[in-house]
Amino acid sequence: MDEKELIKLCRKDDRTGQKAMYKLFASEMLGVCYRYTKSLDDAEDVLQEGFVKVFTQLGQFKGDGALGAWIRRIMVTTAISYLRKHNRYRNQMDFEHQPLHVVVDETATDYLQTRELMDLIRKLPSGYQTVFNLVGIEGYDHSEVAIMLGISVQTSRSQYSRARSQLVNWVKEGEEYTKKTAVNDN
Amino acid sequence: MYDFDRHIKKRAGKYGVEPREQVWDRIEQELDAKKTKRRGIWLWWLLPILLVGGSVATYNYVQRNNVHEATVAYEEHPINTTTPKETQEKNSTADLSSTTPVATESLSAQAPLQHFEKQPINGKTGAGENAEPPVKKELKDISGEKTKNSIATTDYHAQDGIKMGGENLVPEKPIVLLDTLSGNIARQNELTDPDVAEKISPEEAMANVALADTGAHISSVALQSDSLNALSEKAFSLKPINKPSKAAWNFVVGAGLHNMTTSGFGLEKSMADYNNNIPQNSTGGSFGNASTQLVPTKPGAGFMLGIERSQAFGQSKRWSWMAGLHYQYQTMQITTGTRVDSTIAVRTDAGGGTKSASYYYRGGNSVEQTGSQHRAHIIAAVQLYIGKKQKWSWQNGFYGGVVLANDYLLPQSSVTGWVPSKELVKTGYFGIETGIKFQPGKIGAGLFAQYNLTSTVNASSLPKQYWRGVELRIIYKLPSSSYKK
Repeated sequence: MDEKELIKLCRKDDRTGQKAMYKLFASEMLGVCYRYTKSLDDAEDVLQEGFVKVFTQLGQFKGDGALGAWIRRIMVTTAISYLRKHNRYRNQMDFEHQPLHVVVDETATDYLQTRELMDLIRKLPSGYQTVFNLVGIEGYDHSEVAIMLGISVQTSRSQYSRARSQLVNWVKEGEEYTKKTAVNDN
Repeated sequence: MYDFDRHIKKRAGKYGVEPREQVWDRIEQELDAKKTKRRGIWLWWLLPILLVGGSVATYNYVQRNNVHEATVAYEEHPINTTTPKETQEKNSTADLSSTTPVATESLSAQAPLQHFEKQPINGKTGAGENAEPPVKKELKDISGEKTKNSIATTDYHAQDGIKMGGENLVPEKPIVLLDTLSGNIARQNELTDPDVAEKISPEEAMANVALADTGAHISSVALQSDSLNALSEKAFSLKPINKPSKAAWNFVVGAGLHNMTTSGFGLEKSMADYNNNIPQNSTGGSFGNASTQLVPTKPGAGFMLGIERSQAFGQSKRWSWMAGLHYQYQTMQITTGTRVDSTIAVRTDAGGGTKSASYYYRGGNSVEQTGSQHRAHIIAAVQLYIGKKQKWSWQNGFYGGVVLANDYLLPQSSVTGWVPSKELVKTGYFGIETGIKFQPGKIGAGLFAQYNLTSTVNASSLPKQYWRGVELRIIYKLPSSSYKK
């Protein structure tokens, strides 16, 4: 079943079509949701809420872009509103008062596994994590992020810069640790 | 140099995690709930339409009946002078009277009009200047009750010692009311001609009353004699009893029951489940996923205070509008938690034989807690007066406001998460209200039902919940001086 047929079925509220669409995108989208949250439970909540929105708002999808990209955008906006709604995230979404002192070193290599990298992103405070996800991974520019999160462009830039530096630092530490462990093992 | 950004993007793009099975089940449940909700929304749109439609239909029906039931009142008008010619004319009236007798029953059966006494025409027939002072009698309706706007009329028969039937004063001959405003002059002239009048049956005469009756201000001409033509329309101006309701400020206090629900009108409807796991047990038995349930909130007491302004729509006697500010304090009880009753089968091989026993296990936890909220809203409503005396009214309206403060717990999507409602409750709300009001004087009472059209809780994983309630209100009409300033 191709995407167009799936969309037709889903617009008719056909449960089989909806399930097929869910199966097609669930894993990729949970990956997206997981990057914005701190736990898999929360990511699944976002995924659930996001897919309900997808199925109820599918009439608004004009078909001028890829369906996957459209669903991804919905997941991102759902994740942001989820973070705002929930207290445990909201406290960390205070963009102005989150200290993050990092040492910038960009000599990290392509060594860490994807899973470990995602874990590092999740280790960032929610505000930094969100800005980094939006700018560094989704590809939004700072003015768009500023509107989405209700912050200034300057704040978005500095948050992204600090988050990136922290990640670079953590990656480097991880690599050094892995190298040391490898030497000791030898 | 190492391109960190490109590396991250590439890795993150490939990153995917397989969701657990029950995520789809939850999505399915939520979609089903939304589908039911969408149907419910149509019903809620239908309700105000039915209310308004019903009100308009009732109004039209009542108005149509009022045309026939228009109760009229006389204005007192002294006529002190007569000329010899008029006296002569009165004598001819007496002749006419004798030729056209009318049975009381036929009048009563004709139309629900009041029975009228003859108008005072300067003393009894033929008495001229030597007439005795007229005896005053009050106008009474068919049932014998004194009418609200009755005025004293003169009974000349009483002076003549003519026996009148019961307390009701009934005319001996028909009094035909003509709508002179509608230009029915020709008919009036025809009827006032004694020759013609003789040929007109009482029934026909009464039919003219119905023709002439417009339900508004109508003038009357008593056709008992030609001399009655001398009576001006002003002297017999007839008015409807009902007047537009007076504008007033009302102070309102009330108490009632409120709770939250997912849908429908019933006071105890189950809320949708949302799935969560309870710990699995390896000892066997019928374990599995249990549903975390929001047990319906038990109705809690609520109190209200309000100030309202009510005023008629223009000169309408039936319709008025009401606008006001209400404050409500509502208490509630919410039971939340995961709960399942399961059986655990336990087998033991000790003692040479296999024994088994069943234990009942109650899993999860439930919390029953009380809470409260304060809210204030502006209300705007339309009132339809039922009946002529404007005591009973039916009120339908909308309200919108904000939750000022709240204090109760609601479950998060995870089993262990209970959060204060302020984290999840929406601040703004909007709803509909309907009720019946009885206000015979300064103090009145009303029974009202409210339903929020906007959901109460903002949590993603919770089913949508709506406040509703019933309230008994006491309404006190403030003295006009208190608001004129």
